[in-house]
Amino acid sequence: MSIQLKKGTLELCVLSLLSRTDMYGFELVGAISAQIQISEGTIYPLLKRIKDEGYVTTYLQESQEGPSRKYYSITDDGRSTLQTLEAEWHSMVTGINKILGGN
Amino acid sequence: MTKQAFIHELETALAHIQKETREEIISDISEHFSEGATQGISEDEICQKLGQPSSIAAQVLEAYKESQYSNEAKNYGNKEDIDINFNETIFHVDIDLPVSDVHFTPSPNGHFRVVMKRHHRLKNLDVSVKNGILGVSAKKPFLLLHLPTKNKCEATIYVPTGFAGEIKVKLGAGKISAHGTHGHLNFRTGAGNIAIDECSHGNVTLNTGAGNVDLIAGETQELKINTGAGEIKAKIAKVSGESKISTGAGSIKVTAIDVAENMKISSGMGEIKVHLPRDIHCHIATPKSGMGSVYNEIVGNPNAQHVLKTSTGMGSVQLLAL
Repeated sequence: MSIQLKKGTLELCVLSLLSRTDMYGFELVGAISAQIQISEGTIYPLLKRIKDEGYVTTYLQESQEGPSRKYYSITDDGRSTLQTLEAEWHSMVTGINKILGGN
Repeated sequence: MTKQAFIHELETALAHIQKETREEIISDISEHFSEGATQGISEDEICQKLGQPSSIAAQVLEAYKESQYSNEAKNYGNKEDIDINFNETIFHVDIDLPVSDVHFTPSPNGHFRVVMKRHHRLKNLDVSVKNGILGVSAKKPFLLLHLPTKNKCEATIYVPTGFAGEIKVKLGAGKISAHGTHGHLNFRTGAGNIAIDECSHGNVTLNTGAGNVDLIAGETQELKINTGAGEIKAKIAKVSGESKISTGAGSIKVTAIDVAENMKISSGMGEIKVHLPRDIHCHIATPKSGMGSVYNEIVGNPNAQHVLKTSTGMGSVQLLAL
């Protein structure tokens, strides 16, 4: 997938995953890379940015396996951004499918 | 690649961004390595999946820029204004704008801060810190001819009081003012007044195509003041370097308590008034006026190496004792 296309869609994927449950970085990266081929490291700058923009907040929680984990939690702002992005995504996919299908 | 090598490479690539952002990304990536390790994934494999440290850094830099600007929009609810704080170490300030008023004032928290209003009138505004240089530049003015004075772009730069580097400003047109800054000042504007007070400890160069210059300073090293047309007023405790004060047309008023090098004061046309201690440690050259009266009550020291010269094309020259 091209980098430009990936950029916006990754944000959509992250917000969508977090809208269901809070997740820590490694878990989030795993959930995305299981479906889409990405350079896993690119998720962290994205997380930092959407945190600065107020779409997610973070908190630390102890884990049984090792050191404490940083969990990401979606905010109301994040949820409304997710709605916008999702609507944009669907309308774009519909449009592209029409073009590809020749209609 | 090992975790250590990966982190090191990432740290280097992020060296010039805000410390807080850099540390957060590094700690996120470290956590990623630890989680991978508990699942039995090798450091090498984790590195491969993460991608290049440089591409992570590139993304951080891009996101960092974006968040800088979205912060400013949040603070003011007005996308026209910029308000950026810099935690980086800065040695040099370089401002190059086609048209703007620029003001320097002490920073209350020890960090540089740039606040700009109505900068949308400038094209391609670029605010950055690179290699210790804080740069503010823009290309062409936006509708310069129709620029109403009350809507001029304004920049306020907050300068840490401990700053001793150089502040360089080059404006196509606009006022420059500075209050309470230390270090070297190099100000140049095509047209506009320059006003400086409570500055000290550095070379001071003030140049305007047309406009008045006002300077109140403690000790300055080299001092150069030039205006194409306008008045100059300077009050300085001590000038320890060579100095040259000149105007194409306009009056000059200089007060100095100590002059430790050659000083030359000249006007193409206008009166000159210099206030000095009667027994100042420099040789006083006979004041010259092309057309006007000359009056000197300063004795000075005829044997001193450095000379104070005053001349005007037209107008009186007065050297008065403090």
